[in-house]
Amino acid sequence: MDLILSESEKRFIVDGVKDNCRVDGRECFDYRCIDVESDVISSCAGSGHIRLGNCEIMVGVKCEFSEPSLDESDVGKLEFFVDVSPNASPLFDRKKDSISNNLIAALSHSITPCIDLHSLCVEKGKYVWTVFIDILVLELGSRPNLLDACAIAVKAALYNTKIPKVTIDCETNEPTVSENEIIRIDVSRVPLFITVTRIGNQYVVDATQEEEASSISSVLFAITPDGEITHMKKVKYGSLCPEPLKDVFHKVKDLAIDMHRNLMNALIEESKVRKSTNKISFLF
Amino acid sequence: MARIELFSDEGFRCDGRRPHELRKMSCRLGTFEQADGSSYVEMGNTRVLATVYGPRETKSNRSRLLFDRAIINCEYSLATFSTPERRRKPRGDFRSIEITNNLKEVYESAILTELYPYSQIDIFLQVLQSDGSNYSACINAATLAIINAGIPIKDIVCACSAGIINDTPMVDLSYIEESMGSNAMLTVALLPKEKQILSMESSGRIHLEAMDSLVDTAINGCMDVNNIMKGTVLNYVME
Amino acid sequence: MLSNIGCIRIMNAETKETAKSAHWKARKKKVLPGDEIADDVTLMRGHGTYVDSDSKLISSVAGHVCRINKLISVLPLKTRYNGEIGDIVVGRIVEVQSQQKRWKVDTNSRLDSILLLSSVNLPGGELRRKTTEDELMMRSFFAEGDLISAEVQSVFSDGSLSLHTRSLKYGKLGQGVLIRVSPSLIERRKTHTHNLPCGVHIILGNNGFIWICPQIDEGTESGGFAVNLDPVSFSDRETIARLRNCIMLLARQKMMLYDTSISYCYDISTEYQAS
Repeated sequence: MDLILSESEKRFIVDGVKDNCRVDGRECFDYRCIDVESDVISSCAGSGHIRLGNCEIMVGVKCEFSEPSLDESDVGKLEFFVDVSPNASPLFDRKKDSISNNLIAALSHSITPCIDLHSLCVEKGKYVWTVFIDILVLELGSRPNLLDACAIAVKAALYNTKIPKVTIDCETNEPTVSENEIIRIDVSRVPLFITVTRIGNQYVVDATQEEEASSISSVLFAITPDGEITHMKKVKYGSLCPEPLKDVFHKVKDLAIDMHRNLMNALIEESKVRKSTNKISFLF
Repeated sequence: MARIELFSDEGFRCDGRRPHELRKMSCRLGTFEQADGSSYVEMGNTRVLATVYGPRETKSNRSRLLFDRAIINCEYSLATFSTPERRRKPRGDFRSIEITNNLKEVYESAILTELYPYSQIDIFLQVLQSDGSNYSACINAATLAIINAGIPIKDIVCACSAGIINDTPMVDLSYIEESMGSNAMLTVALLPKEKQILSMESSGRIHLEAMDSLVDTAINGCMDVNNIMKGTVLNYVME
Repeated sequence: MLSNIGCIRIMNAETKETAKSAHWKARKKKVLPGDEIADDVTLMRGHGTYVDSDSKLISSVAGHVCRINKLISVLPLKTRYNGEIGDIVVGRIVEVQSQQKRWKVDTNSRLDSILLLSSVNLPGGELRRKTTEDELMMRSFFAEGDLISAEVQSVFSDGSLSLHTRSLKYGKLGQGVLIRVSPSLIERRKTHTHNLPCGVHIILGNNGFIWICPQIDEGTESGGFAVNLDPVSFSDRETIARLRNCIMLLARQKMMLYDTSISYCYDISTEYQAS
């Protein structure tokens, strides 16, 4: 069940977007403040935690040995799983909603091709790593920014994922785990998502629940740090006019490049802080 | 793999604690804005989030509502990445269902439900990281979330686990202590003021003679937990 | 993005220092669930308390003790709305039940409140008995999702509230923003609707719903049936956004909300960007 708004409230939101002054004072292409932290769950190879508005997500990455598929014997696998915690929203009906399937589809479409799966091979034809990326939605804000937040959290989690280096003894077939060598996943090409929501004839990013209720459709973009669009999809029921979209392409591209840079800076800074103080991170 | 010594001759446990010592426990109230009440509890490496919605009117199952008191609905989920081995499903296994039912019974007796006829109170628990004593951490988190929601409750319900290792009773078991061997384990939930037991559950074989000391140990653990929780709530009220 | 948080932090510190009088830290006794409040049997027990087997009065929530004559109650920091007769509330229509001649209204209390067809004013302020035609027209008065302001008329035995809008002050709300805060943060005052000096109109519902909208001229209140759909001017919009963020900040700091505290916070905030 979604939030219902009265006609005049919707009108207020739509007119506000037209004036480039949204209900909370933001401009159309402003994000709310994003808090990211990584390496929060010690039982995982890597993890990330994000809060964007009232949307809160935790991502855990775990790696397991598995056999490679027959046709591609030297590539690892990425598996996404999304669970919406009952905590997330009082109105949410987990059984009926396809939200987690949509998220899995969008993320695996866009992120899997951007990761070097060959680096996840242990022994060609015998063992590869399967990387499980488990996304747990702790608090559900608006639908459009959920995907944006997921992508940031996934990237943060993959960034600090440490996979132990394993060598296989050719004769005994016994794997030995190296004590100090680790594999890291190269995230430099992993895209981030930006979802633009159509309100009236304008587009906004990071829509709130109220704004979501007064919109009819949105478009999601996956953009790499170089500004390439790797995935694009229109969601929800309404229709779009192609003309204003062209303007949006450039805006989201610039925004995404900025976001990538900010995120990487934040992650690097965070890892430095952790090294120097050895602090145990405390959530929230 | 060599068997880890769970309890050394010098009187230390494998993580360096004494038998009667709890792990480091910290808690926080009001972690989410959307919910009526929420809390976060950390007991060692076990981390639990709790949210409470309600008392509210439900749209879905009106027929279940009671005319003289509120109904309580619980759900316990264990994140797929919370355990050392990845889990396939976050909820729906026997242990989760058992814990869900236990929680419901505990809070039906602790919350003053008769004040809220025709309403429903939802208590949701999410384990983020599991390192033993999940059930007691859940009870502590749920209690704090209920207090945060301003729902009347008889007392600050608290819980603690205890087990017997090498004939010594010890509190607040970690995952290693819980899983290694045939150690007996007991979890007690308590109304601390009147020392009334709301829930008691044990697994493993316990010698009848050891039972007394085990229950006492668990209750003492509960009282320690209660002191920490009281401190947290007091801080929250003072804010 | 990051600079914004910075300025909010500074503002927090400033407002916190200066608006101490409005702060929760009033010198009141704080209790936790299970704490004994009194063992005097002559006292009456109010909300947030219960009597145990030794007939002692025990608190059941965490909050501060409030004593009015013999009535002792404990008020928690955060709770659902407990309605009292005469309160002004803002609510959202969730259901139109034309069979039972009533609307169901979400007012952040534990059960949905009820607005009877007989307790609304008809468009134009006409006073007469409601006919079957009016019953059929119910959805055109208030539809699902509409926001209304109303007064609590009575409390039913199961705790749900009966509302009325029998005054031109109350009725449907037009363009503006709704904010939800904890009901305990709204200070009880004589008036809950204000035209603030910064040029906006605000309704502080006792139920914790706050409505901000552009200023309305005195005397043109229509009971809300003629809703104005003209676009709101940019400056009004900016003021509303700023005020909204101020109130959210105050609420996060658990400071009491009333006209002066809000305008004060607004004045401090003018140094910073609205977002």
